[in-house]
Amino acid sequence: MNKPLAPHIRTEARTGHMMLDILLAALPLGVFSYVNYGLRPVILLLISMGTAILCEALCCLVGHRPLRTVMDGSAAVTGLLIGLLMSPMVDYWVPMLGAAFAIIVVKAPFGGFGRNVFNPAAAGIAVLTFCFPRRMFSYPAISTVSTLPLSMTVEAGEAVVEQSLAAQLRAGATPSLSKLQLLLGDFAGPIGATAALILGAFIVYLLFRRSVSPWTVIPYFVTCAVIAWLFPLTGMGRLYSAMAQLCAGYVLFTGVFFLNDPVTTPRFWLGRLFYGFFTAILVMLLQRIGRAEAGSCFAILIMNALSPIIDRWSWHVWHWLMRLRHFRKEVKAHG
Amino acid sequence: MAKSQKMRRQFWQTAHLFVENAVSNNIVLIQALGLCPIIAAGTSLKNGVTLTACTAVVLIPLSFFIASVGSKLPKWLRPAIYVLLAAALLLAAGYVLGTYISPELYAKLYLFIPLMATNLLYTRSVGLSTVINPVGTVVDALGSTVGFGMVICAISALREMAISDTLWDVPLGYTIALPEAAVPFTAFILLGFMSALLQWCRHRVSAYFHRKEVEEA
Repeated sequence: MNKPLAPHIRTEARTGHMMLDILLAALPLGVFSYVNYGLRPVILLLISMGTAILCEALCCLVGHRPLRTVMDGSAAVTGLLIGLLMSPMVDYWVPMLGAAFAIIVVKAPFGGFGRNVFNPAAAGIAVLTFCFPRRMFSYPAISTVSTLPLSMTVEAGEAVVEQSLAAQLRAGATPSLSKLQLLLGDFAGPIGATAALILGAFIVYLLFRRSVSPWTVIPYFVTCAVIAWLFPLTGMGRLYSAMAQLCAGYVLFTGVFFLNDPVTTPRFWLGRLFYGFFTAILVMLLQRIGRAEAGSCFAILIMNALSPIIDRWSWHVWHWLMRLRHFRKEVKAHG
Repeated sequence: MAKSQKMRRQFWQTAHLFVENAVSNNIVLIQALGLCPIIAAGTSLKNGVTLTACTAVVLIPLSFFIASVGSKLPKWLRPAIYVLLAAALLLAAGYVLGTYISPELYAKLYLFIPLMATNLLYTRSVGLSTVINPVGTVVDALGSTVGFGMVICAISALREMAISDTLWDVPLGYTIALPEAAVPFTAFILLGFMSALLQWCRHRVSAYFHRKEVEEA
């Protein structure tokens, strides 16, 4: 059994360190949500990760793969990403369902880590968005006084439900948040997708660690910011609107986590550039016209399907250009 | 003696034809036909059984007709005649369903019955060119119907249990209901997994026989 466990990467040690980097991000985000909402979001994260790992182990047993593939951390990361996009007051079974779907339906049938066509976490979130939009998008208001109860379901009286930033932008309402609040993530939203400063620091850390490629991340954020700056959704100035649109929904989170999935992104640098660029356009489009409040996961899934084509075509385009240059040099040299 | 041997051979041939159409070359899971009614209307067991009955009503007489009379008709006329006959059978089936059995069910399914029949019809008229004797054709049609019925009943039963905790409108008594299971993609996913399971079984069975052959030789 000398099958490569992750065919997209040559050395096995590398996958482990990438996954560890991403798991590291959970710590500050977990602490952040613990401070805001109490223990409930932390339990949600743990449940989601645990389900993903269990399902992965199950799939390994069914598919006669060695159980040690569970330890590469990819299943834990999938569970973690699903947990981070939950509303803090969601029922405990919702992330379980999402994680189980991601592993059993989206990841394992394609052959496990390294062979999956779609990002499992994005697919899990897409299914949950599609099936339980009301549960997914009702966020509790941040209050430092009371914490969320730990019971299975948060009853109507136990938390103040607040309209999320994405919903406010879609409705054309003017958000009442200051720029500082936007940066600090001091507004209602998913467990791990509001803290803009933490996510920003984390992407810088990943770039320095070379766990992610700047060819996807920079085009994505630049395009998102430019689109938001050109077509503001609020009437409070272009800069504020750009900030609010980047912080709303899953836009930042997509750029930090989903976009940098090593398996489903193109390998060639020009392909990565196109991938980031088109994902940003789709994400910003879905923010305005999509049916769901936060549709970034759909944008990622669409781009995942196109990613091999983008990779190949960009490679051909680049080499055609290089040949052209070479040819012109030859013509110049020999007349 | 010779006669009984011949009959036995014929029996096994017919059985083989039936099993092949119902299971190993399943019309839905392997040939990917009749997906539309399963995905759109396969949300309760009653729907599934009704659609299966309608398929049987259309498919079996039509197959018999094609096998016995079809070759005598001029080629250019055949498709028109087949479609007309299928439409007539469907109208009759729909009328019986709507007036005598259950008007509500007919109101729910009237769109899907013709859709499904035309969907199945095209394969039959193509596939039947190989089977010439009428009995074989009827067995073939019966096998296809059973195959279609098994898949649609399994999927619609599963989805009904998930949607409303009932099976054939009888409450099952647990409390989790997921009305979201009525969306089309659940049927797609279920079909995908059932198809994978069937292919796995086929692979195992053929591997078993291959091993036996090698051992004998």
